[in-house]
Amino acid sequence: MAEPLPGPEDEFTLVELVNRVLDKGAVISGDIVISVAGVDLLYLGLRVILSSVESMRGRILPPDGS
Amino acid sequence: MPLHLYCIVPADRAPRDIAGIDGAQVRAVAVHAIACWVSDHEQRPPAAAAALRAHNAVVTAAMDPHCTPVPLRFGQSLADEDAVRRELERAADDWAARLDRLAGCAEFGIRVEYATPPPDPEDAAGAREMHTQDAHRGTEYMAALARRRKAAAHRRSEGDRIASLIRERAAAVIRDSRIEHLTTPGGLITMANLVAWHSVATYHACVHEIRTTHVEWRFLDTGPWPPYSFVA
Repeated sequence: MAEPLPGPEDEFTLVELVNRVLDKGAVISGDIVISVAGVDLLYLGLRVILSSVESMRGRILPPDGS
Repeated sequence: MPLHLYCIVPADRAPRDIAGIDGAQVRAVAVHAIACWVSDHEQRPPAAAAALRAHNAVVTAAMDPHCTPVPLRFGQSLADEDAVRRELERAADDWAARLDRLAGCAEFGIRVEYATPPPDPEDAAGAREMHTQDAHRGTEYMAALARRRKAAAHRRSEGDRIASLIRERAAAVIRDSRIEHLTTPGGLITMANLVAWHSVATYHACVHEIRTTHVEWRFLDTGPWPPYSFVA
């Protein structure tokens, strides 16, 4: 039997999960590497801030989003 | 084989038959009064949804009303146990202080959106105006930009008002909070609240009261979470 498609609430919870696990939490070592499909997409050394897309847009862009 | 790192816990908090990412057995590496939960992997786990869920599941398994772990951000690996012990030793007092500060608490999330999103100030005509290169439309362009900025400022103000309402109503039970203003359509804020376990029922009652008296907003609740938002 095929898995049911995730409903809106499941998707919302996943968004909240990703926002926490990838964008929050403590750093114990100097390096964080996020890899997807075997490709290291993000390398953070020296405790550079890692941010979700939404958070980074809010930090970089003016409040009007322009 | 790199060790994937999940969380910091008191040394007497041992993982019992907990499977982590890709089913790897979770174990503790301890130094003095603190320990780090880890698992062994052939390669660094990729940031797939299943791995993120498994990471959070392990950190959540470390949490109960008597123990609040310090969640570690996904993506951290160390070469071996000696490397883990060196890192723990290096900041042992800091980790212990974080554990003490968070003890007995959990994080609860609230995402607030407009129940009915307001009209987009950048309507079809405005969108054309925003992107036109025609110099004669400079005035219209600036007017559309002003409307957009005004709408964004109103949304930010609305988000601040919601956060203040929640903080004031639940002041007795919210130990700390973080808010982020959303830029998604209809989104206002996402809020993380640190609440003691024994106050959770009171916290939910406070949020429910606000929810029922402000039907212009839609509240989406999550939690309890390990306190990811309060450990930086």
